[in-house]
Amino acid sequence: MRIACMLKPVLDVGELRYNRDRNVLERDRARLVLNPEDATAVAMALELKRADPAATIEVVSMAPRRAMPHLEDLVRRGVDQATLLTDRRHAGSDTWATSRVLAHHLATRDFDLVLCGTHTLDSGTGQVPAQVAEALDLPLMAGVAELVDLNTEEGWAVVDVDAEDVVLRFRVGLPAVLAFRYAPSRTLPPIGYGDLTRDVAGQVAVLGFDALGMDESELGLRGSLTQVRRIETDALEAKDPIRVRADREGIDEVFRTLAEKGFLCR
Amino acid sequence: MDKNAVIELVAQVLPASQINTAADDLYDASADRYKKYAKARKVLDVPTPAAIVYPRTTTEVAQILTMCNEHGINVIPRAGKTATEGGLENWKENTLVVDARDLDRILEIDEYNMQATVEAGVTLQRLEDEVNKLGLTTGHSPQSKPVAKYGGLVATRSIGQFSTLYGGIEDMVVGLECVFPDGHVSRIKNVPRRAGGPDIRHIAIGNEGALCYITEVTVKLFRHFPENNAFFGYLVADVASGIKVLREVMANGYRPSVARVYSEEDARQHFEHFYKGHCVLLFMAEGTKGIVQATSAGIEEAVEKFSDGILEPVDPRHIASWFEHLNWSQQDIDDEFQEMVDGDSHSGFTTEVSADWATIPVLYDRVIERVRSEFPRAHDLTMLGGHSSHSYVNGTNMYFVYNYAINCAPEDEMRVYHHPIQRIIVEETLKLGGSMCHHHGIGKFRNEWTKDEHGSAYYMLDKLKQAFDPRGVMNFGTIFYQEEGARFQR
Repeated sequence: MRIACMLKPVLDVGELRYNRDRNVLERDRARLVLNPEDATAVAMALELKRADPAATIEVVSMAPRRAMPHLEDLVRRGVDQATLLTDRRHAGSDTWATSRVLAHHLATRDFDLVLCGTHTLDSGTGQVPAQVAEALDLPLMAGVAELVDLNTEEGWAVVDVDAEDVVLRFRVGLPAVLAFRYAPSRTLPPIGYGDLTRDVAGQVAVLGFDALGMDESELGLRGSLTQVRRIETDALEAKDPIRVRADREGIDEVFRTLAEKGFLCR
Repeated sequence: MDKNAVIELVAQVLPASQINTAADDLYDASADRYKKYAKARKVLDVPTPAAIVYPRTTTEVAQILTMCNEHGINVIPRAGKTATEGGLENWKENTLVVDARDLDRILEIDEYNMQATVEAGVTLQRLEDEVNKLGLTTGHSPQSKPVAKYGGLVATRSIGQFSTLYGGIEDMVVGLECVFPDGHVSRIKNVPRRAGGPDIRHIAIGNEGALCYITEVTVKLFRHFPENNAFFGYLVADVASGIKVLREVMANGYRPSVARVYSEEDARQHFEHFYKGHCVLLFMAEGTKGIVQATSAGIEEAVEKFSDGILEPVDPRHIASWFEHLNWSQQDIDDEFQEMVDGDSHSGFTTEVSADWATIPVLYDRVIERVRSEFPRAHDLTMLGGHSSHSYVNGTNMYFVYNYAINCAPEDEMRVYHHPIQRIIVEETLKLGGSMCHHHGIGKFRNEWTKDEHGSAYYMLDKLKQAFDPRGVMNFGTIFYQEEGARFQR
């Protein structure tokens, strides 16, 4: 079984700071974290590999170079190969251009499954899995909650898809792109103490623009269908805290406030 | 000797009702909050003690210690259980944890002479509540105030959040009673001051259970005027700018009860609603109206003098609100424990050091730079910063605070994350002439640097151990390095 995982290191939104003087998000200072839904997909891949040790996993990520320690850690957790697609000329790529880069790389590989998250923390459009599947001419199942059954020899998988108030079960032909929902219980395995300093350079590849063999017009801002005309930011206004006692009256006040602001339905 | 033999011996001294051998309690007693994550995940690597015992009198404490001394049984004195540096961690198979739970009497509140006497197991909160009814305060308010007990507070040389006004516990203890491993009971009398040779209170204060067992404490009381509290807050350009203002206030002789500066990372943890990405400087002036007015004027003068580093004032109501939620309750501790059971995270770690005014800003920058560039798991750090929270006329402390995503097995967490960071902090502090432990004590995980901390004065410390605990039964591994315990440290 050959598994490819698409993974996006995203900025830790809790650390993002807005520079009010320069009116920009200070991205460079924010820590990178694995997109949680992508991490769920990699954890799923590692589960499959534990059940079938002959399985191979390649993680593919289009990200800045500082994502490297995260990819190296994935190898230390059991992934066979990590590929970082990185180049200054990728900067400004929207989901369309990003999908083309990822699909271009995946088209050079043989695989039974492409696993990834459905959404990312930083944008949440859910477009990349669909666009990659389209580019590779593969079926896509998004919002996957569970991989119920799998037979790579016969070429099918059964998945449960969480569709808000109902779980739907599908059988899908392989190869396919399976985009997972975040599952808190499906976590990446810890890195063994001896593996923390293991040299994994031989299992991590860094591919720049030239190695991809794509036309420069397909990448970055030029290759993006999304055109940003102007960014507007909401002015934040400090509010006085509302303090209530931990009693019936306090609970009613909290409920009333949340309902007034539309967070709760009466 | 095995654990059963230890239990048989202790049964000759105490009734069964004062001996606890319940497995869950013994597991809990094997380590303190230092290895909190491994403890929560049930992967502790240290032996469990043979039993926890609950003496009710000083005589019983003396009997237990004498028995342990004769048979070479390790004793871990315990009161409050909020230790953070491994002082309550067990490294010996044959160990008795001697818990002050039942030494719980407030013996006297002497309103006229402004002092109170309590047994070791009285919680600070209980005494504070009692003396508050009389318009008095203990002046002591560590974050663990609702849970911490006097025996532990004195043994660990603790400090509270109002220390700039009231001092640390060493400034509050008037006299005490303690028991040595040979069974000798020493009572240090309660006098305002004396010049009767060296101040022997300090043999017990901060001994971390490595020399004696504290059974009773007399502390000072202070008149309390909470209605006069005045709060001040400012956003400042950097830590050094805040330190300059703290120094100015202290050098001019003012004593605000709270005087702090937070790095921007640490400020985000506490003041996200107003810090605006900057460092935070804050004060609380406390006392009579006249003292509060004078202290407030002194703070404002200092802020004015160093206005270059002041970005903007903060609404004092924000500081007052923060002040009202300073302490950790048992519920907070339990909640963090559950969080560690359920997930791969905890609320972080700290290492607290001290140095003179000129050194602290240099030390802060060096540590942050080294951690970011040398720590192999720097990409897992979710928070790295610090704050100064206890100031003196000649310097201040730095409370380094850090947290991280845990990507290793629970049993490896300390050696992968906390230890390498702590090592950098301790190395830099000692290199610059500071102290590696401002108020948590040495415990068991900074004992490899005890000699470096004290230099030539270690001679005196070592002699105390030899004199008072020649058989080494008191809290094995605490303060004093033990090769046998090194396997639990690395």
